[in-house]
Amino acid sequence: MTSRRMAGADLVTGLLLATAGIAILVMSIVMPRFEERGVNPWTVPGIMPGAIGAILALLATGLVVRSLRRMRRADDDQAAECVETTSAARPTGAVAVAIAAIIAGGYVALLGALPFGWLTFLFLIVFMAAFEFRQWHQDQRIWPRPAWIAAIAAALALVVPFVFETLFLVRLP
Amino acid sequence: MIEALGPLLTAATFFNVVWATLLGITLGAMPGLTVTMGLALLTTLTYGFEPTQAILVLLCVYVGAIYGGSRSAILLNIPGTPANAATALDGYPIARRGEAAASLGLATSASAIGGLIGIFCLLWFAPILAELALGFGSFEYFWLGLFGILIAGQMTSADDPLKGWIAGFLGLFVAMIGQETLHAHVRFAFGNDDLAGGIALIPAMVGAFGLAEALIVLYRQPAAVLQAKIKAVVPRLRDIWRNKINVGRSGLIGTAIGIIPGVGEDIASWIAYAAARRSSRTPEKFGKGSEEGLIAAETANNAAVAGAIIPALTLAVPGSAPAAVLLAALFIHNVRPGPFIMIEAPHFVFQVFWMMAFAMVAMATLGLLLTRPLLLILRIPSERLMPAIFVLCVIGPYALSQRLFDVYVMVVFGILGFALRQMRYPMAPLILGIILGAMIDQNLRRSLQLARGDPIQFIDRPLSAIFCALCVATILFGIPAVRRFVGNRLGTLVGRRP
Repeated sequence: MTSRRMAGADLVTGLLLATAGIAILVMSIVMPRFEERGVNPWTVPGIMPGAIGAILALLATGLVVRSLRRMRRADDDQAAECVETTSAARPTGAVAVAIAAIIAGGYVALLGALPFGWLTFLFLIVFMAAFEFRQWHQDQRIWPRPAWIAAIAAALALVVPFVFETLFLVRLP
Repeated sequence: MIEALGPLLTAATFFNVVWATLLGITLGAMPGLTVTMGLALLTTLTYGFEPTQAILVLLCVYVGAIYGGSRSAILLNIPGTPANAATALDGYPIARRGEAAASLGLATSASAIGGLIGIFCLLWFAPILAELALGFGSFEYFWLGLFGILIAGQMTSADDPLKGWIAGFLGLFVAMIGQETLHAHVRFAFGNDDLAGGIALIPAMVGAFGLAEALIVLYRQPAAVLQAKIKAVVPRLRDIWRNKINVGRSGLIGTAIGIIPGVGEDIASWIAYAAARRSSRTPEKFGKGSEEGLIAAETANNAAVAGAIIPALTLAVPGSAPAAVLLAALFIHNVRPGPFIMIEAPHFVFQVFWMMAFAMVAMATLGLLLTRPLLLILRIPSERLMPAIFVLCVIGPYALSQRLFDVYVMVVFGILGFALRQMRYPMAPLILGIILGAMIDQNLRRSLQLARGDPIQFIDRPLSAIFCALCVATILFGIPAVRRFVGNRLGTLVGRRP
């Protein structure tokens, strides 16, 4: 991230964390103190989280102040450190993370709804296809890549449950 | 010590040492697969193993992985684990000038010697530290836990300790979620039964170090493996002997840094690298293919493995993130780490020494023999490897508790870990906060109860006062103005011009 973008991200994060810290402190103060049980007031449940909330709010405030100073000083024309490129063999950058997150999110959401082996097979095929789509279009012959993807997905979908359930006696979702 | 060796001399031990070390080397060699994630997954897989064998497997994977990261560091210029970042600085340039085999041989030899230095320090220090820790009370444990968070935040984010400390305190907050131990009150669950049980360590670690790492690999451009004909890799013991002072110093630095809670092998290798550069007659070669730099980095990171295990065994405070997983595994297998280990199970500490010795020998042997097959693994495209890693990340947390909630926790920590790392927050203090949160909470409240709110009692005892002073010093040295002031004063004292 460029220094201006990082300072901006720090400002937003700092504000969120400061708010969270204050919220944690307030929630800790209103936690029960069990006076009716004769509990020692120095051992009530809110002491440690209250301290954490206060310290987080303090540190986050420091982050906000520092990021405001840095935003004033930051250069505007620094190149980004990680450029998302359309010329790479596969998606990279934020596009790659978004694709991965959506497909993985679908996999996790369907856990338990489908047999694990079949779900894993579908997930692997969709994931690899989404990332190798560009290369597939550049291939001279169409069939080898999808065949490889299907073979790898099938092999993993068979081997992983076998290894975990049969060899290591681990229950799968 | 010899008695502890007897039970380990079995065919099962030999088999487990070989496959676990090989798995560790492979795991460490592949960017996107972290040691911590691998150990967390194996903790669930080895649940049904006999305790000694389970710990042996985890130690071999740990040792193998820290060494294995040097492969991709040298051939890809991408460290396989953060512990090998310093290795890439000089290992890759050496490989680029046609000496890849020499670079790999040096890394292997240095790693083996560093590991041996570390385990001998473990043998010597662990009983001493356990003896010292027997005198710890609530006040000492509180300050020790707090010091761990502060030093981990400071050292894992030296340029920006503020972010390290924020990560640490966020981890402490995560540890507060769920039912607390003194009064069984449920905190921050918002009526959710799953949250009332708290956030388990393994799913959080798999997410922060497994899923987050996979997302980072996909985010980056794919890297090209150095096209080099690798001849047979041979140990470079003559070069190691020529650099014996560097090796000794780096081994001791690695062990000492490894002992510091939460700091880990990556910081150890950087500090040893910097020390080697300062003492070198040719500092200008560092970063351009210096053998001294490569030796310092690899010696220190493997020495730090044993260093990180010392506080885990004797204080139940991990020296690194992988050591934190080992700590969790020890509890799962009914080994109680902490000051009483030398009283209740002294043979176990000696067994750990032998296990790590076996792992070092296996690491050196396999590392020298299997260079070319491991190169093939490095060529697996990340878009095929990362979904497989994600499947393993799902299985690991589910395997321990059979709760989908833990899978969701893994996903949340994975996304959070990715976002925080993009904004340059270190993960180690976050995880250390989750581990130490309960200990700090209980000991703070016990201390307040004993002291009846009198703050002087927190620094009344000598060890408490020392830990308190260390905390204050860590905070002060995190402030840039203070660091500059002290640096200038020290420079004036030794006669350097500011």
